[in-house]
Amino acid sequence: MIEIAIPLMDALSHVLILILVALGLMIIFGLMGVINMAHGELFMIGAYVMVMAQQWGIGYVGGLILAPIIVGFLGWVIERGLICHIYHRPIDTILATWGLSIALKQAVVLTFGPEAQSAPLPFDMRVGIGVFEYPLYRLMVMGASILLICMCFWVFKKTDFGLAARAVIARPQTSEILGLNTAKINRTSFVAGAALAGIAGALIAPTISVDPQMGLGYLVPGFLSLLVGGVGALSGVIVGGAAVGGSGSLLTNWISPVASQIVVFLMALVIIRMRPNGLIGGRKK
Amino acid sequence: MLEISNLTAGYGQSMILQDCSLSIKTGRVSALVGRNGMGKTTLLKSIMGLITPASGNITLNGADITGAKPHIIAGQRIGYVPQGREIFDDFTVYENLRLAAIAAKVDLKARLADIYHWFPILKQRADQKAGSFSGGQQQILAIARAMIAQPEILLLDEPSEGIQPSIVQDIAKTLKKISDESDMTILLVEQNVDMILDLAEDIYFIENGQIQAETAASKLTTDPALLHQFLGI
Repeated sequence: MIEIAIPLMDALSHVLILILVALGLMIIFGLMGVINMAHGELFMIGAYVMVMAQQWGIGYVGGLILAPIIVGFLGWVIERGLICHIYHRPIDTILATWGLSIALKQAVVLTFGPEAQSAPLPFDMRVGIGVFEYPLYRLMVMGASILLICMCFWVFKKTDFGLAARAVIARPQTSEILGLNTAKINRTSFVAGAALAGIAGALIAPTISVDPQMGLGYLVPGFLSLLVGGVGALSGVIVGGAAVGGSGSLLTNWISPVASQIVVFLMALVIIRMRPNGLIGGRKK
Repeated sequence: MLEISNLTAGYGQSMILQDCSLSIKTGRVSALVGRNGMGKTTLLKSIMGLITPASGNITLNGADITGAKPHIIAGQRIGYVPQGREIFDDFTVYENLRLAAIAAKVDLKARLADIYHWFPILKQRADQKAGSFSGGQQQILAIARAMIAQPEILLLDEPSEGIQPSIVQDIAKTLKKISDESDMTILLVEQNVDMILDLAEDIYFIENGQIQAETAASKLTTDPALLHQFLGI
């Protein structure tokens, strides 16, 4: 029981963070058709904000508040300075955001050095869940992730902004002729997607080593989650994140991390081959 | 008043409208008539800012709106029902109307009374997915969606296209009722002669990107020569 319960909890924790990253990617891709290769770096900067917050003495809560604000602002600068000039040019956006990801990584290396940093855990307690004990902080991260995912769904499904954003995804030109300022909705969504990556990075920072390369470890499975789950539906992100993140995390208990990555890639290839629209997307029509 | 002066516009290097001028009279129903490819849709798209004109001007009540962004033009209370309807298939009828109210920044509840008065079917089917509607019902929804913003001018691009004749008659009757009950200006692009004669007061004939003739609809019933000349019927 304990042998399987703890790896399952670890996998769930990993999946939830991955879903947060993939949701940001999905919002940006779904709305603007922009494949944001720098999304992993936004996640990484969120983690660095948490590290710095501890050093600045504003503590864990300060870091958690500051990370989405700083990364969201960075998202606003990126959208205004780069993305808004190359809308509807998918290849250019990939190249531009890839270049941006390299620049952001190097900026972090120059500022903080290439070595890994760490953020202390805000509390180091374990709580009993049935027959096993689990770190309280990891449980809190899982709870916060679930809350953020639910908030995302609520905003997109229930609010005026969500309805307008879904309209822009479905028919941008029609939305514009109805009077919606689609550029503003795109910008807001980009900032929201960036802020989501920032808070995900800040949440996970105390449990992993924070280094300039950490973004890639979440960007690739994040994109894979979108493809496996199905691009276009928010629920696809959850299914894709669970399939990619869950299987990857669970497999590392029995095989090496490299082998588990290979298995996950093969599984993703098979799924995408059989259901090109993804697990959720494939079901439509 | 909507005034189009010496407008040249098109797609890429190909100019469809050539020095086109037209004044749409306030509070009246005008029809723009012509064969395919003569520039009817291009004119409506230019008015809505979906196409940036190469030259010429479009003014609304004296204010120049040439080349403005579509959402700014929509904000000037110009409603547009595009060809093909373009309703949001995955949204319910109510969500389609709610979206229009959000976009136009108007109180949906206040507008729904009028909308449901004109289009009772939308009240009955408010929770139905718009994608499950027939072509005619989708057209009604597209018109209702444009009406949410209480437009001063309503542009309709071939509302009868692909719709069964009985529904076309219903749509024409409803538009007539709306036009009688409000002081809204309607510019109708259409090839369906019955709908034109049912609805329009002023008729403009377009050919090769220019307005070639205009007449009162009442004259057309007694002298159909212009219809023969510009529509080939």
